[in-house]
Amino acid sequence: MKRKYMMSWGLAFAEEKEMRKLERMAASGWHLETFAPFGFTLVEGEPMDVQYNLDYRKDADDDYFELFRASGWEHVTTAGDEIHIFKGAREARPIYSDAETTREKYATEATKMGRYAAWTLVAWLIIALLRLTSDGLVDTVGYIVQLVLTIGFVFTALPYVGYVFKRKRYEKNH
Amino acid sequence: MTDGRVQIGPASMYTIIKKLANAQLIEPLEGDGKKKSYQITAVGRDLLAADLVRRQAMVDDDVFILEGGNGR
Repeated sequence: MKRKYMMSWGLAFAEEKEMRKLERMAASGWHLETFAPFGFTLVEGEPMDVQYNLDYRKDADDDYFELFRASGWEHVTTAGDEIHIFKGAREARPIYSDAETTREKYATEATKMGRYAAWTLVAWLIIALLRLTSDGLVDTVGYIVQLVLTIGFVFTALPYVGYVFKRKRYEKNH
Repeated sequence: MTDGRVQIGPASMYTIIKKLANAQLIEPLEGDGKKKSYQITAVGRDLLAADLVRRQAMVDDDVFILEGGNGR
């Protein structure tokens, strides 16, 4: 079976857009198989008219997946034990049916990403302070750790902003 | 129960069930096989009764206005 890679611009920003793109891909015979680094792996098959929906849920149990099954949503793949994608027929009802629970979906993610970003920033600042009074190897190692933390900060602070925007959107519609 | 009047998506439903259960307003029924059922607790019933009083008062106000209670 042929497979191909589809890039993701980040679920915090492009969730709906990418779910719709996955639907267009499925209609042309390329079906979502799994998450891949910074994207998705698609597998070739028969063209199908389906919808894709994504949910964040830590510690999802059997009841969770059973509720989806009972509403016509088939579980496709999960990333990090937390991000789940489901596939449903065109007529399957939306997985979120009210603004309050939809808001919560993004509020939980915003809080989590915000916490990661804040801790990364704190660690970055501590190392910056340490480097002021050190040189040689300690300074070099500190520099490398700072570089890694900078990347970590970007990849948590940006999603944080994305999720906060989404959360606010559902607050307005409330 | 609602005869199709209320249709809740699975992700919303799971969130709501977890919240109600955490607040001890509902509790799971044991040994129900694959499809899990919940029943309302005494606390949940009290809350529902209080809400009924509140909503009934609103309905009474609506009726008062619609049945010619304009101006007094």
